[in-house]
Amino acid sequence: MATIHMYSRTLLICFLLFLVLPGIIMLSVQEKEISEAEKRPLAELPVLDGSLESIQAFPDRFNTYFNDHFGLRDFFITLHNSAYTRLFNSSPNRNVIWGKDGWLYLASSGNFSDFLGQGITEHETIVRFGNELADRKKWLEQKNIRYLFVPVPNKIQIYPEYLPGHFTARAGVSMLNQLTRHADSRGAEIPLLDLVPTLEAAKQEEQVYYRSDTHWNYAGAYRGYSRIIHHLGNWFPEQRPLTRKQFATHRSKYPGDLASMLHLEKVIEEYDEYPTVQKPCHGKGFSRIVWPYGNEERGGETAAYLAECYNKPLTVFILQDSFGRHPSLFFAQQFGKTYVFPGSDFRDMVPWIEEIHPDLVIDLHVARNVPQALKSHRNVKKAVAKQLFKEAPHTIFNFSPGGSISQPVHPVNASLSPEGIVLAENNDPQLILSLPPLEAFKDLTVHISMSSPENSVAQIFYDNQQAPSFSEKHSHSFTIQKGKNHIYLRAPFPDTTTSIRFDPGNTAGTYTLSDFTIKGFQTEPTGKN
Amino acid sequence: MVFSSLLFLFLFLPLVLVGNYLLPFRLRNFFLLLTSLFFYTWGENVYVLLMLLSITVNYAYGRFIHGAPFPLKRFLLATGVAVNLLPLLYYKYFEFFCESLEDLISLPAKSYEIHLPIGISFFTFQAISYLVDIYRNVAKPQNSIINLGLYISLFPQLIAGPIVRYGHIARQLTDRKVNSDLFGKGVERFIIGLSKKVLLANPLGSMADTIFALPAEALTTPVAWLGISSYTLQIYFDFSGYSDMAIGLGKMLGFSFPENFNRPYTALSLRDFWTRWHISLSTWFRDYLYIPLGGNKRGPARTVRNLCLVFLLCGLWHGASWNFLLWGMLHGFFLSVERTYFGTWLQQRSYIIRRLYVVLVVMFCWVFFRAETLTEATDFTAALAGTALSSDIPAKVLLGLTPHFLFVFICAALLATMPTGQTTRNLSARVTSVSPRVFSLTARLLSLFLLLGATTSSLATGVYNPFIYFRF
Repeated sequence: MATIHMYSRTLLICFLLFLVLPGIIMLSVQEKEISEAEKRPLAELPVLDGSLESIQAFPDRFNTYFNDHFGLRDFFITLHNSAYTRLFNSSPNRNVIWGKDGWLYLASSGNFSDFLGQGITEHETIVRFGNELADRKKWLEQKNIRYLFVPVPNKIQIYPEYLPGHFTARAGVSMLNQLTRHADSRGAEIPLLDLVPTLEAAKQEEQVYYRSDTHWNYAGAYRGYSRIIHHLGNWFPEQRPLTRKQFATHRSKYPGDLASMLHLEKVIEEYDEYPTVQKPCHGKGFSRIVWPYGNEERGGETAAYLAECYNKPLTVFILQDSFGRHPSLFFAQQFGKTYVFPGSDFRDMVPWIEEIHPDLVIDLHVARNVPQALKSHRNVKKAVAKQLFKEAPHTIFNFSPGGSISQPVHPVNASLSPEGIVLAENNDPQLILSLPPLEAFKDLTVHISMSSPENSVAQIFYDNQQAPSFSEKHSHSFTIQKGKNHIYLRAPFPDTTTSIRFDPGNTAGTYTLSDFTIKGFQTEPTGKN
Repeated sequence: MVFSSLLFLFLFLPLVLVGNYLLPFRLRNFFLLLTSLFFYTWGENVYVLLMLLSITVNYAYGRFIHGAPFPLKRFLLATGVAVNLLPLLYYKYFEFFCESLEDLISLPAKSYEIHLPIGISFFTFQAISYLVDIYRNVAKPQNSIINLGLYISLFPQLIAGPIVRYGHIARQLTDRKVNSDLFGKGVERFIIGLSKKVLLANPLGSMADTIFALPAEALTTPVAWLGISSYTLQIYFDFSGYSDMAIGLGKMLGFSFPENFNRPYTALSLRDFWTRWHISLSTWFRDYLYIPLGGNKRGPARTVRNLCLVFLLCGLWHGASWNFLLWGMLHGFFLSVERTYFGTWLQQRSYIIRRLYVVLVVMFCWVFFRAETLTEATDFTAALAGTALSSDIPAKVLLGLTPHFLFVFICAALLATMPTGQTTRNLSARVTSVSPRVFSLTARLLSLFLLLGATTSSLATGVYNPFIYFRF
């Protein structure tokens, strides 16, 4: 009995001590403001200002604050993750894959599903990406500006051999592979530089990505930079990449972002060779630029940095995500003016491009960010579609009052007169249009001239081989204004489409459809589109 | 605030325990009432007023019912139950009722956004049991509104049970003792419950959530089975873990709550299952609904009707959707079938067959409990039956199939389906009888703190929120 009492008392005391210790430490230790490991500011103690909002929000905010600051936080996290990885040889964080020999991989952001070939699987999405690149090239060409899109392969694609075996066995076709194959099939129309062969060859000689980080290391970044400059030789023959001899390197510890995600950045050690230029060019290193205009499409400011080499030619814009950080060190020594836009994409760049008129725009993003990087700028898309429409020699489909080519149009929830008057009975008027075969054409564009009773949203649905009936997934919508509208757009439907459904708006009323025309270019006989 | 949160563990709980034991006994109930109301307000804001209203109304009704003559007594009970059910009907079922009506008569859909106060199903049933027990003269009405308030709002069992009958706890409200042995038992139970929740239920739940979130076209048959198995284990360890924590906290505060689970997946029939699963709820329905309806005393047809009605309501109690209704009805159906020749046949089958029957039926029913919609449930069932639309393992599932998950799954499966408690108690007694008591108790202490350390570390990792890129 005495032993039981002793046990119970010991349990009681230890339990109470365990409960109060973190609170005591929290009160006695100075609060941290920033978590270096998590790369974010830690929550502040919430303040009650007497307002109802502050009272209602207080519990959640205090909870967040406590979770960020309770005593022994770092100790518990490191203990858990260290023990977990030692016991189970796997990652305690679902966003990180624990590979062989200390290699870590990002699992989230679609990275792993893309590796398995389960990411972007629809060919029409790849075609849309290709069209976006072609449109950017065309728009910039009119301003005498060169454009190059450089998707940097995800680490998992270059170093799959360190993944767990049952993952590697399930490797599929990644989005990047699909895009590069599609770009190859369209030739010079799509200005894409594939770095996969370069990095796969380079890894035989040296490590090109960090083990504990998502990014390429300086060796990999140099290889990428060098390949880009060689490619630019097609346009700017004087351009030569810097050689390795022009750099000195010094070795230092590198805390990988994936190791930080596991809070094991002090446990998993890695080193990198930081390069510094032995004889920098005569000019200025990167400094922040203040741009007076906001981000046109997305709102907010665009961050920009400028480096200059006074005795070198070319003004170059580099739109980049974090994968541009390492190669920007080399680019800064390469061009007369190097503007770097971290965290920006093409949509942010249009006013900058129109203001500064660079010689070249390099669009550099890691493969998992490509879908985000290839979002269109509304006005650029419209301008290119209008130009393509005007240039296209073949009219494939036409509906217009008194037009020479009449095609069957079947209205639903509406009536359609030969003069093009569409009387919508409810807020879902539909016009079903049967199309002739489209396989013999490319660069299909659509012109719609119509008037709308209200500001509304029009939509084009299309069938395809996998889905013969119309659905939201296979559709494209766009806003229309009350009154007259002239819409130019690249045909959102693939060349296997046999019919489309055009919803002129989502309000009842009277629409007037003056013109619905699809034009295109003949596909070349070699089969290259 | 949930028990398995750092705020509860390292701030609320120590303050409550220290405050409770520093205060003289006569002030403890008031202190616990205040802390329980604070606990509820922390999560539910102004809805604490609903709880205060429930306490006040039931206090008045309890006193009226006790003193009233018979016909009035029954009327007061009926109105008291109705008044208790009204908020539950509104907050939990009004939206469901309106949406079902809209579907039925093709009205345009409206959004109602009625907030469901947490624990309302539990404290409503506790309040109803208080009134019914007074009506039946099983218990006397509580003279102190503070004590009644404490019974209704006591934080250990407020949000997830067990449903405590007033008669069970009435004396403890005014006369309870705690010594280090009882407190120690409470700590053990709390740590075990917390470990079940954090170390077993959470990883299993993560896999179940991933799989149930997959679109139908991404489901494969093995993945569907993995999903429902994970969910079957998750719901048991989550719910029983929470009950263990509630019972453990109760012990630490001097209260003894009833057991709520008794190895339900070792049941040999559905009937047996319901004597082991959420015991406080099933006995509540038995005593306050099934038996008053006649139970099984009025012939087989009435028995079937009573079973189906009780389980239909049991399903609805769990959630306001057709899925829960169907889940309840399925259980009612199988319980009814077991009262036919099938039940006799089942009793003659081997132990393995009977265990397998229960586990498969319960797993099948859990599909409807877990799925968000009927369509999702039928697609999932089709995948279980082998008519899945896909053959690829989705990336998210593959990522979750780590050695850790497999370890947790196997441990959970073994623990959930282990032989009865008697066998393990015999085993434990044998171990402690051959090894020195100090040694076994030391090992027990270390094991408990190993579990506590592991759960706390896991909770801490759950609030570690890193980004790849700097967020300033």
